[in-house]
Amino acid sequence: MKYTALALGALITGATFAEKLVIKGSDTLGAKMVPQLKDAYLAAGNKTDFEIAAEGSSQAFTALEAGTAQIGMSSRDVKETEKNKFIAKGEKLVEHVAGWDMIAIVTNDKNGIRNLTLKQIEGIFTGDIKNWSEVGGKDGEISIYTRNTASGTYKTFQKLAMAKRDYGQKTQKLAGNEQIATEVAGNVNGIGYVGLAYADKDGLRGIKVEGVSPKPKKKAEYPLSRKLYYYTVGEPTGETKKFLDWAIKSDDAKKVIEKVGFIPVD
Amino acid sequence: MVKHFQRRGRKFFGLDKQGWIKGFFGSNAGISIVVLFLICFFLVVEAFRFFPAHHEGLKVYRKSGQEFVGHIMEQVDGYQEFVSFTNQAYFSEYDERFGKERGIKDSWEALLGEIEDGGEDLAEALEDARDEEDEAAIAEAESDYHAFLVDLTSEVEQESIDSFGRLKNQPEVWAALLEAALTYDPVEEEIPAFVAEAVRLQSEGMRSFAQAKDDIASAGTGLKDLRSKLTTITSQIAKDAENEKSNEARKFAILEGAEKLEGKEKEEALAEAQLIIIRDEFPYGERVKPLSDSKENHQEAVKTLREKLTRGIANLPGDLSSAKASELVEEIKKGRDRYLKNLDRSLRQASEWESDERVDFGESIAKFFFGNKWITNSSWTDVYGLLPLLTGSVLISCIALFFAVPISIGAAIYVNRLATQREQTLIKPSIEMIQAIPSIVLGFFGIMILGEHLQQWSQASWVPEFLQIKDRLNAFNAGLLLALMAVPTIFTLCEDALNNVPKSYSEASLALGASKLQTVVRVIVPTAISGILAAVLLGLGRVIGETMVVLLVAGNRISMPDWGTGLGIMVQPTHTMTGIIAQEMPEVGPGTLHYRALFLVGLVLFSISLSINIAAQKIIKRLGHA
Amino acid sequence: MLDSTVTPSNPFRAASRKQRIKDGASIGLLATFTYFILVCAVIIIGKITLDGLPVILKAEAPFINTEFFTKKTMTLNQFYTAEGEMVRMDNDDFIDFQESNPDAVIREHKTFSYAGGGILGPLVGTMMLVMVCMTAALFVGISASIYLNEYAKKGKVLNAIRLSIMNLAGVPSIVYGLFGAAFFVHSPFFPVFTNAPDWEKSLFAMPLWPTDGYLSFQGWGESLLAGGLTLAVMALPVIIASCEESLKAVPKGFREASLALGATKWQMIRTAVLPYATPGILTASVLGITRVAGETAPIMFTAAVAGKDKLPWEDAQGTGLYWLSDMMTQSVQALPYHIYVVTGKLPDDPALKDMQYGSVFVFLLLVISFAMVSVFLRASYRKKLKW
Repeated sequence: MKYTALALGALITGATFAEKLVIKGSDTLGAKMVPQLKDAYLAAGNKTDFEIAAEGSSQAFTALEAGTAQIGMSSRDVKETEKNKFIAKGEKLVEHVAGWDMIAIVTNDKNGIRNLTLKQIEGIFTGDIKNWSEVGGKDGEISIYTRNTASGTYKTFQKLAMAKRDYGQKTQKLAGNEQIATEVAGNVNGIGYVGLAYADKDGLRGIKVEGVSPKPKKKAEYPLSRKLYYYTVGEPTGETKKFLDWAIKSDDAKKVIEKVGFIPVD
Repeated sequence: MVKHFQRRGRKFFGLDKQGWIKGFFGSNAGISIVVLFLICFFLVVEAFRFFPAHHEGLKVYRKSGQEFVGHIMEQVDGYQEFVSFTNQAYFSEYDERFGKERGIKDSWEALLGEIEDGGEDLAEALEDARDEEDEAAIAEAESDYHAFLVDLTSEVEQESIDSFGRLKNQPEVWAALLEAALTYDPVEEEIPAFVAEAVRLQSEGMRSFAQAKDDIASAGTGLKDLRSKLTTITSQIAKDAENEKSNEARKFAILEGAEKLEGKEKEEALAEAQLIIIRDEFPYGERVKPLSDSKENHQEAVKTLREKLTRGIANLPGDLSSAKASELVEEIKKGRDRYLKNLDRSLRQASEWESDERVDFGESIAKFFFGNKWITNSSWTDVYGLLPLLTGSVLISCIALFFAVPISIGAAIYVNRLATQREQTLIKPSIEMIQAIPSIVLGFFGIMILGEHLQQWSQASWVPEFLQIKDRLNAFNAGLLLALMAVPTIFTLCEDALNNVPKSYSEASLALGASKLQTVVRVIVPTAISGILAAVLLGLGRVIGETMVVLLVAGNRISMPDWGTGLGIMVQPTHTMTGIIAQEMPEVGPGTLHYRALFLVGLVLFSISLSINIAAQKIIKRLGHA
Repeated sequence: MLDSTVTPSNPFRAASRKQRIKDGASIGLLATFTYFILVCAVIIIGKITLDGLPVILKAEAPFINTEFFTKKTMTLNQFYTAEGEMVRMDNDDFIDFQESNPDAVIREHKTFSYAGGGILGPLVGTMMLVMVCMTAALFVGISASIYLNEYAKKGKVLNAIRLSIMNLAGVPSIVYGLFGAAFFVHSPFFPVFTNAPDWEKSLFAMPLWPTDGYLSFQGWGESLLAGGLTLAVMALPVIIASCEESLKAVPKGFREASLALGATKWQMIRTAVLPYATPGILTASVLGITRVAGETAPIMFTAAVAGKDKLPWEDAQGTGLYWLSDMMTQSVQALPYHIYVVTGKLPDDPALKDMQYGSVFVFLLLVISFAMVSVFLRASYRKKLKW
């Protein structure tokens, strides 16, 4: 009995924990950009432990609130209700612009449609427009692929292209940009939206919106471009600050951001 | 008696060694029972807390006037169908009669787009030169521009411009277009004569149809405007009401924070805190005044919509050359009366809306179980209706069982009664092995291989059109994979049931001269029928509870099946109860309404599989003795 | 009631030609059904093996692509060299490559997250989850079945308990996942050793003098423990039911003889029951492993994450109990979830094919071999079960 107690005592020893950088949130940022920023950051000789989870922008705020992440990634700005939770706790949510993204509307490249107006896009995604013939195409029922509801893109797109209306019931909700790209590339009557980084794929065409094609240099005119954010609780310090400064401002990071198809902050 | 031979051990806390051992095992049994009980407990608790929260949500929905706007949305959605159908009919007719002209017009516009895209800088240079009236510069700019046009017209491909192939068999028209493009002037922006002629021709030919189409398209403008206006207002009301809930905590937080500040900052913080009003009840009454006021506008807008829509539909031309167009017009005319009736009802409901009317608690329950929409993370209001998910689950299960039941019962009969000994020892463990294939692996197979093949096969000419697969991921694909998952369950249990039939039955039958097959069909299967039924039920239980296959393969479209397509619902994408939990659970915070809704779905799933199990046991018990 | 071909005049008359053809055709159809099932299974397993086996094999000795098992998942780089040759490289190799050849021409550089390296992380995660699960489930399950079968009073209550256990075995796995999320992940009843308790969530935290840490009741979060125990709860009904079955198979006479010789109850169980039930219990445990190892749904929101750089023990902080507690409350990668990520969330690109088919093949192999062992064990056990 005595020995057990001693052994237990020996077991309970030091408890010093090192800092680990946990980044959670948007799939748009977390599937490609942030993991590769991380790789480049580590390659530059920094020694930090990372953990990245990317389930959707909503996760960024639930995780920050629960204290299970130091940085939240989001492809939309924070909602009032989310902000309130932090204010109510006497904390401040700090926003850092991570870069620009353009939401590309993609169709199958066998579909002849080259250009859609915002009104038409709203009609298609809300379910008012059901057939390609209504927007000048060939007869065929439109199959719509969207991100799932946790995604920041889902919300941002509602705001940018759908006059905040709800998605039509016939939309298929898929887990990621990549999946949408794959499905649209395999369905002549498909349409979907993806981050610019994902629009470059065989069988897929990023069509013009209001006559503007989704190209990085047109980020200002293109109606469906948006900012991407990192969020922290309070001004970042320590490892978090070091990483964020590097990821937003350094030239190495900008190269990575461009490589994965986003547009770095000027 | 036994005690007599036992040594009495030392006692700890009143229990001897035997007692302690018994206690140890007993406590483990206790743990398992408690844990198994806790499953039910946690599910039920989280799930049932959904209803009060949902009730609160519905109250806000009514109080904030969103319900009123909801009626308007419904009216507009119904009306949009007419617009969509009319447009489809119009363009179908248009293509039929003026395909070439449309090709000319669209191709010219597309060509122009290419020219403007590529020659933006050159065009600017030309315009500058002309503004400055510098002859040499103009000549240079013009020749540059011409060179660009020559390049472009020689490189451009017909398929990429005439993307719908409307001019495919008109090489001379295409040549004319290129010709015209060569002399295009970016400053004058003149349209070539033959293009203008084509535009004129089609607009004249389609005039009466276009008139009717425009009537229908503009009929709902007023109602749509009202919808957008009121949507914004009511969303704001709901949002403000939600925000006000955290006011107290926020004020407290700011005041607490202010304690740590000094000077001007402190004053600012205190002032901010001062601005926050804390009151018992959010003043919905005053806020929804604009809505009550717009009831009249609403009546007016609906009246206009009615008139214009009726007129537009009446004016739709009767003699159409496109078969599809006539079909659509026919449908529009048929749908009109039903819509107008619905419109009246909806209008009445909207006019009866009162902000302060009570919301029955029963509504919170009914709306979940009978709601046909599941909309989450909405910018308007979240709707939790079970029906689309339930029908999806049932649909996929039906497809799976349709294939799995005959095949596995057949296989069980074959293996149990007709196969040779060697076949038996080979087949039985192999089929049992199928049970071990993890569902994620089957899902993987479905998404990587089966989906594409099914899609290709379904394009074969003998497949009726409504069964041709458009979406690679759909209920049929998932159903097939689930059938394979159900086969081992049904097979094994069926086989057991057949095994339990006494040997004397089949011996008697054979002795009477019945053939092997007759014996099986007339004697053995009827005797084992209760076991077979139970096997099918348990197979259903397995299929309906499966997650990964449906998550990956079913297509995740949350909507009621499109009944109009008949059996075509089989090849539509759908979503299931298991799928929705797996998909949305990672994104919701514990304790939210959405979280609880998912638990409620889980509870429904739990109850379904439990009743299936119990039913299977009952069947065995009742029929087994008969 | 029987067929009309049977006439009283000659009961032994041969069946008519028509009847024989009908018989033959029906039997043929049934046989087709049976073999159709097997063909389906063979196609699926064959396709996965065909594409997956080459990933884990190599042309030269030791003939197994050890890298696939010993490297962690990382980003895959794909690019074209100056000669137009396509190269795919794991990220660590790529970094080395860039350092040693700073001037190398890299064209059309593309990257694929989670598609490079090997499956060490997911493999280790799955094994640890199964270990946690089996430790808990076997310990509790076997003891509970001994109690239910040997100690508990027979009667209605016992039957009711057995019935509910049996019924729970049919509950969908995702429902266990929900329970795990509510109970192990989010509820604060479970303690961790940490020096930084999450005061928001913690029910109460007990300082552990003389260290600077606490025993804090704050729940486990998404972790090895939560996931493993969720799986354990799921395996419990199966294990209890099949253990009981094997305990019941031990003849009553053994027990009576043992007791008659003066053995205590525990001695009787230890010497006259358990030795004979052991093979059955072993089978039950393998059966349990087979059931849980293939599951994805219960760990999706209790333990698994898409990407993690470190293995649980590398990531754990502190020493002693703190280290253990931190390790067990790490989230992990798991093979089935990894498959979900690389197929469901990433694009359909040829670059991913190796990772996809490799992981699926390894996973299938793992689960199928467990299943084979259990089928084999059961068969040999049934043979032996003749006293």
